[in-house]
Amino acid sequence: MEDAEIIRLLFDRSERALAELSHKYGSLCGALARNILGSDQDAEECVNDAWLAAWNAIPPEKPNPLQAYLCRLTRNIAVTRYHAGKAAKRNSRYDVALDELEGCLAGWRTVEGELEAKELAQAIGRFLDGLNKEQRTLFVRRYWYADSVAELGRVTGAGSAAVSARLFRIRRKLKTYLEQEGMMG
Amino acid sequence: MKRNETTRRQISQALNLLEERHIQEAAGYRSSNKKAGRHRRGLAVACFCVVAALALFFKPAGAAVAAYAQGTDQPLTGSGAVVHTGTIDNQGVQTGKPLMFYLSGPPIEQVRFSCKNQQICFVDWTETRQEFGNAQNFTAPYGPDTDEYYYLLIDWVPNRTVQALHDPEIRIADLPPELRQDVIVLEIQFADGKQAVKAVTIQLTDDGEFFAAFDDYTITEADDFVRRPDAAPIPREILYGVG
Repeated sequence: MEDAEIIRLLFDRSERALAELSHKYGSLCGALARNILGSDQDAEECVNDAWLAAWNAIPPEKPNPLQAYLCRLTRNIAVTRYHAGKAAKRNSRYDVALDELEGCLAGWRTVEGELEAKELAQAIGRFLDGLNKEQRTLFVRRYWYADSVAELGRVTGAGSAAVSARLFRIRRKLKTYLEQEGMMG
Repeated sequence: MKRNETTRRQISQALNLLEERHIQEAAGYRSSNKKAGRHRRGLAVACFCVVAALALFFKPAGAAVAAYAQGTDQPLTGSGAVVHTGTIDNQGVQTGKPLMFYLSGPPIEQVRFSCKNQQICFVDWTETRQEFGNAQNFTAPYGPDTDEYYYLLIDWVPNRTVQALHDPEIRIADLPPELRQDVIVLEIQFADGKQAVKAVTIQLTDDGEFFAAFDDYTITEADDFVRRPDAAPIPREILYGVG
């Protein structure tokens, strides 16, 4: 079913919309949630919460593209759960991905301890625009979607070693970029 | 490394704010490498058939080696074509990469690269080989895994041309031939012991584009640049010691 039709069902308050969301985006959002939470049960709950959030937000929202919107909803819910219950949830793929980025961004400058997430997000966005499509995809799928290296190898058609090497180079370029932007202490 | 929970949370929050266009692009990504892979396999199969058919006759060993521009996977052919990965203007301002290419073909032991007028780098994205930076002559190891050749990149760096164009009195049309043309000779040692000599020839057009061709090459007495000594590789502790 086309996204426009799903949104129309949501506007009509038809419960069929939730079934269609699940059918079309359940796998993608489920995988995303599972990557972050490391648990099938938690992931299922997270996705259900995401559908509920979409039901409550649409209307009046009319997201386009719907896929990215749902992924963001799912991810936000999953990450909130991750940070809330993280003591019990170690070694998920998201943990590993955050480890990599934390190593890369060690020394990231913050102002009086306040959150500079928006500034960092904008800088990362500019950095991503300077990469080619495959590099950008590798970065976003590793650190936003929390895909495993093996999954990235499947997506790109490369071996795991090559994917790891490329991610390492991209992180190093990011670090250099942030240093040039004056964002590293 | 000890985890800094504050930093991790902030990184996590920053990632939450990535733009939707990046999220959407990554969700729908399908690698062109798979298409290039099929293309390369098709090309290899076609070349194999040609070689097999002419097995009774002499056939240069390097016939099955092909070169492609990195990023676009545009083949570099004998007849040549404009490479759409980078340009340079009359002020020496570069956009993109003039030429970065990779090889494809049968297993290669090593390739000795010799660049006549500018400089080249050898980058290994698998990070398992020696790499070379801004040199004119070096020998790069390849190895038996032909799938990795896609990640072994030769970056042509026309710094002399860029520097010349920084002179406000100089335009592309004013440049001498050695700053508008270049040759990268590849002395290829295959895993089966055979050898081949190829060359990438590059021409800077008047409008700032780069025209490149890839073809067989015969080294002559006049090619002194091929006989320059090899540069040393970049020490691995410099390449991989930080990060």
